[in-house]
Amino acid sequence: MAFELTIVTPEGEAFRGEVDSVILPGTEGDFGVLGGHEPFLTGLRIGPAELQPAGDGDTLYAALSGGYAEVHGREVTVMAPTCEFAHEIDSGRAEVARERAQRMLGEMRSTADGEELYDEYQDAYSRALTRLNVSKKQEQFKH
Amino acid sequence: MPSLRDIQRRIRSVEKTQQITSAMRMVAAAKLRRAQDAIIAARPYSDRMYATMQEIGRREPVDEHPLLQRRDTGTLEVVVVTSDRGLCGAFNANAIKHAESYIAGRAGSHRELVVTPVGRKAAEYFRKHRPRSVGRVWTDIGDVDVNLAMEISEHLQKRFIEGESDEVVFVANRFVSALVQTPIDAPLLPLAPVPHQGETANGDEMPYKVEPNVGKVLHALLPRAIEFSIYRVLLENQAGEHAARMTSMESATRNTEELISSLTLQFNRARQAAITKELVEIVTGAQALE
Repeated sequence: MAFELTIVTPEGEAFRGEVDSVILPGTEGDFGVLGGHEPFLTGLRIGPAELQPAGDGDTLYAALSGGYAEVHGREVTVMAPTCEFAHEIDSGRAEVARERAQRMLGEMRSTADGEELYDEYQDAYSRALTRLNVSKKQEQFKH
Repeated sequence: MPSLRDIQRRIRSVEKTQQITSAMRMVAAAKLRRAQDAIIAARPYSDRMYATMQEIGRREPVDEHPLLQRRDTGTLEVVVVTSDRGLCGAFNANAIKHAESYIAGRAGSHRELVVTPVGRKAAEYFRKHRPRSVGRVWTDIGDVDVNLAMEISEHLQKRFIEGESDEVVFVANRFVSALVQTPIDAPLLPLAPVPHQGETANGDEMPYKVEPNVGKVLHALLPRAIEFSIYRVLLENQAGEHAARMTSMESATRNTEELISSLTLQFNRARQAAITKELVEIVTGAQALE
């Protein structure tokens, strides 16, 4: 049973279409939504989303950076600050970002200044890692 | 009287200026269109977000969140948004002037003032005129994207939650139309409380479950709301900048046209005068021979 998924970001609608299922990174753990899911609202964390378009479409992977999801009848809405699909991701740049964040985190541990900076780098790290994983998964899917 | 060659040289130089101003006008027009598209693209997000917040507010009074906390204003943080570049008429000057008059109007309502400039023009001005109040600065904002809004919003939220600022206000140009941009001030933090209407009139039960609970979801939602208001301010600033540049470059181009036509007139008069002078010389020379 397909339902309509909309992914909205401040830059516009990143996705709108019929899907058979979607797996989202909820704050309380990943969760899957199939058609006829009970209505609910939950926060999202930085992580990958997995979309199965209705029909025979290829599975799509996207990197989300938080936000929240609303399941409401036949409509599922994901609100995220950014949503990048695998084909939009530059894995080279993501790798550079990941290394940078990792280095910063390593240095932080030694200097131990400021929790907020630590959080910031941690977020940057997970964003980069998500992007890398998303583009890797899509690669595997193709082969 | 300037010589023919001098006038010609001036005409040529004004023509070159005209080429630049009209090119800038066209570039600004194209960028304005893109900036306007971005504003329109942001609409579904804001509509959905406000609908969800209303939905939550309808069910439970929303006031138990650090970002909603009202307290006496010890530190007032004013975020002033301008563009990076000039040549856009009074656009930036208006925003800065508005910020100054806002700050003057708020005198006495707070103990300390922090100015957070966004955009090079604001940064330059406040570094020069209020160096002790300038907090973190954002310049080279370039093409506005969500990441910039996220960065600014995280900074402001952190400061607010940790009590380093007690009230955050935005001063920026509002994009009314391609011809009108008005500087405004708008409160950002604390957030305005979400209206709680209690039961809906038709006795509709909760249409959905909130996981894990309303508080946690609010934690995810409110920062997004702030981020989004900042994103919107930045977009309007961007659109306003290009619109202002377009108008001012248009009038600059018109001015060069006027200048060129008056210089051409001068040039023709001078040329005519030279011809007349030569003729008179020839005629007098011929008469002298007779």
